[in-house]
Amino acid sequence: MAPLAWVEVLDRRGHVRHRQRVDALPAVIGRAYSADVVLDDPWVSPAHLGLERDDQGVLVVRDLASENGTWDAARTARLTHAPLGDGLTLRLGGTQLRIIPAAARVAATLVGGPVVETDGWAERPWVPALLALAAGALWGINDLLGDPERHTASATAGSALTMVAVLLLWAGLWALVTRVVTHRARFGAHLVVASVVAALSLLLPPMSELILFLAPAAPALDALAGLLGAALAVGLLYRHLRLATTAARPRLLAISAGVILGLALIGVLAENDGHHGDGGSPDFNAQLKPLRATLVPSQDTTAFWDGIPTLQGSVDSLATADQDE
Amino acid sequence: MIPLRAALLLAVAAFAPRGLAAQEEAAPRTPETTEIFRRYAARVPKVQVLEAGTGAKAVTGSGFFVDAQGHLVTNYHVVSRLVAHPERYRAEILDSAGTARAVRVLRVDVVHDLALLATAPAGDAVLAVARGLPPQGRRLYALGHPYELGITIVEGTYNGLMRHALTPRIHFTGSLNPGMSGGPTLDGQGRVVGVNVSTAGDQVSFLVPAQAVSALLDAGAADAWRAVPDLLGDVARQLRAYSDAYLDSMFVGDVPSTTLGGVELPTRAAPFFNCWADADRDPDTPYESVQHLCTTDDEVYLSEDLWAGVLEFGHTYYASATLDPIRFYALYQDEFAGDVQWLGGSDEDLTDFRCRTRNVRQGGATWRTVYCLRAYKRLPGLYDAIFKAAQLGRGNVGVMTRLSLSGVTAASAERTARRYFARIRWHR
Repeated sequence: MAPLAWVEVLDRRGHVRHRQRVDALPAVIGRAYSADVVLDDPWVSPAHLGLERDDQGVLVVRDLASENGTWDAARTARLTHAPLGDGLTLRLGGTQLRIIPAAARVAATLVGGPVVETDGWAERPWVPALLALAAGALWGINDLLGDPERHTASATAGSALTMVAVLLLWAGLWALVTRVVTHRARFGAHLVVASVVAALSLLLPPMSELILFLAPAAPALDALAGLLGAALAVGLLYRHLRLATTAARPRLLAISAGVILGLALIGVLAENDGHHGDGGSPDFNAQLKPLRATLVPSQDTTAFWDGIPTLQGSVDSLATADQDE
Repeated sequence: MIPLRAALLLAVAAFAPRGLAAQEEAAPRTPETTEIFRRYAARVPKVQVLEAGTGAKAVTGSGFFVDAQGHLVTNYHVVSRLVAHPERYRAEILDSAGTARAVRVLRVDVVHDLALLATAPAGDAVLAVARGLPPQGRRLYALGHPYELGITIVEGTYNGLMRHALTPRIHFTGSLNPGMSGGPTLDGQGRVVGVNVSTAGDQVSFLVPAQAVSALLDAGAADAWRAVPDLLGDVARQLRAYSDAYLDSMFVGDVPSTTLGGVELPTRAAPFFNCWADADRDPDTPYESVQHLCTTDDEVYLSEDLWAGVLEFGHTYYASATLDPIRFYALYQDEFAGDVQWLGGSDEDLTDFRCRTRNVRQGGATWRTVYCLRAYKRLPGLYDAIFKAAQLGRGNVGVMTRLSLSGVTAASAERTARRYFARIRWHR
């Protein structure tokens, strides 16, 4: 016998927790064991809601003089009876119900072949390996360029291999977690994520240094670099979590952002705690880059000295602020 | 080669003073040291600055009576804590009878490092101040209270005024020790030739010339021996006038120059500068450097870790035959960031530095140019300034320069730095 309607109990987020078919009308929904659909909710009356056909043969729901009433989904209007239409979401006590006639239409089928979830090109072993090596090489070159005193090939190779080892270890730990949660390790995909973020984070400081060098007057660049760094960290955590769990994307993004924000906040607090003036030495923008002089935007001396009264003003206001303390 | 940095006689270091067996040829006949000590020791009391709350000694020094009205002279640096924090400290003298008498500071000469004190008169014998300077080699006698050893006499020799000095100092060959600060150094007739102020060790010691004492006494008398109402404000005023005066013509007119890596740079801008050069060509380092540094010895004591009147400039040339420009610039940038003279001072006295950084064209080259300024919180109108510039765009060759000024007015600092920078030229 074909069902006449379905009663679905929904959870807080509106997902179906379980559903029960209704084969005969009228049907009673309530806490009593004599009801056709039994609800385990102490705020629901033993016979709370009826599902029936009216005189015209239309499916309707009717409140059976329940103690706490039947409400619409927004909990704004108390209903005595309502036509079922294509389906109706109702609230009885602490329970959210959706009642749907069996004749209700469903959405069209998605089109596609046999669907299998894969990590795409990350599953080919040479892709993650190459990316990890590239990140390691970048690391080694960065070390070589940044430290003129240490300029041996073995030192450069050493720091590159150290970086690769760190990436392998990091991806391995995530793969272990992923294996426990989803029964697939996805090591290659984790290694791709880690390598890409490591390479990007290495490129970030030289870019911001170059901007600081070319445009020393640009304000709040430090803050921008910090934001980009934080975004990279959020991205790293989010991608790893997406591989490791099956939770919804917005939820993972919120978790990643929350964790990084918390870490950043701890960092800022720790830094502020240790700050006691500049210790007698100025902190200035000392960036120097080996560009041709003609490529460096510059000003004449008059323009430089014209800015000194403003500088003096800011120092004077520092002194005044301290006196007021 | 280290700049001569004289330690004030407040430090702790001990070695036995030894008389010099110099031969003196008659007129005027040199009296026995015992005679000088017998006659004048009682005129040199110990000066103590005490922490007001506990009464514990913070600083000890020496002083001497200059008139029968209870006026004494000592060093500014002996009483500087009291001047800076009258609410935290008080001062007293211990006279030859061992009696403690409260003293107050009437006025100071911060540049020469002198202070005029007043106490209740008690018929103290006084010392006369000499006029003019003795001939070089004259035997002198320094009196004071080194450490806690009691009144002490030290024989030594007058060796003229310090050369290359903006503020005159007598070079006294004799061992002055901590605690003798502010005590007098006498000639054979018992006249004050100078006031003990500092030592560079090894019997090289320094005195404030008597002329500065006379000037301080004249100023005190002209003001009817009243106390200057705002001593710290007066210290600031003196430092502003002093720095404006010596910076007024700095880097003006004919200034000698030196050339490093094709860049013409100023050197010994005034007779009181000492300039050195040194090259560093270590086979283990992939670059060579040449430094040129000009300093002065004319520093004005403000507190233990703070000196005004610091005037220093220097240039460094870097070149590398082996490093590519990227690696060379990593080094060049580190040196540029690190080459900053530490000017001392604490949060209590000074604000943090604020800096202006730009890429600036000067003398046929482009320079990374930095000007940093910080203000003295308790000495209005005084600043420390640091000017730095590094030449850009020469691949694996670079020249950087730095000028540091402490305890100066903002206007004088900026004017001096402008003139300094304007002298720098690149001859390709």
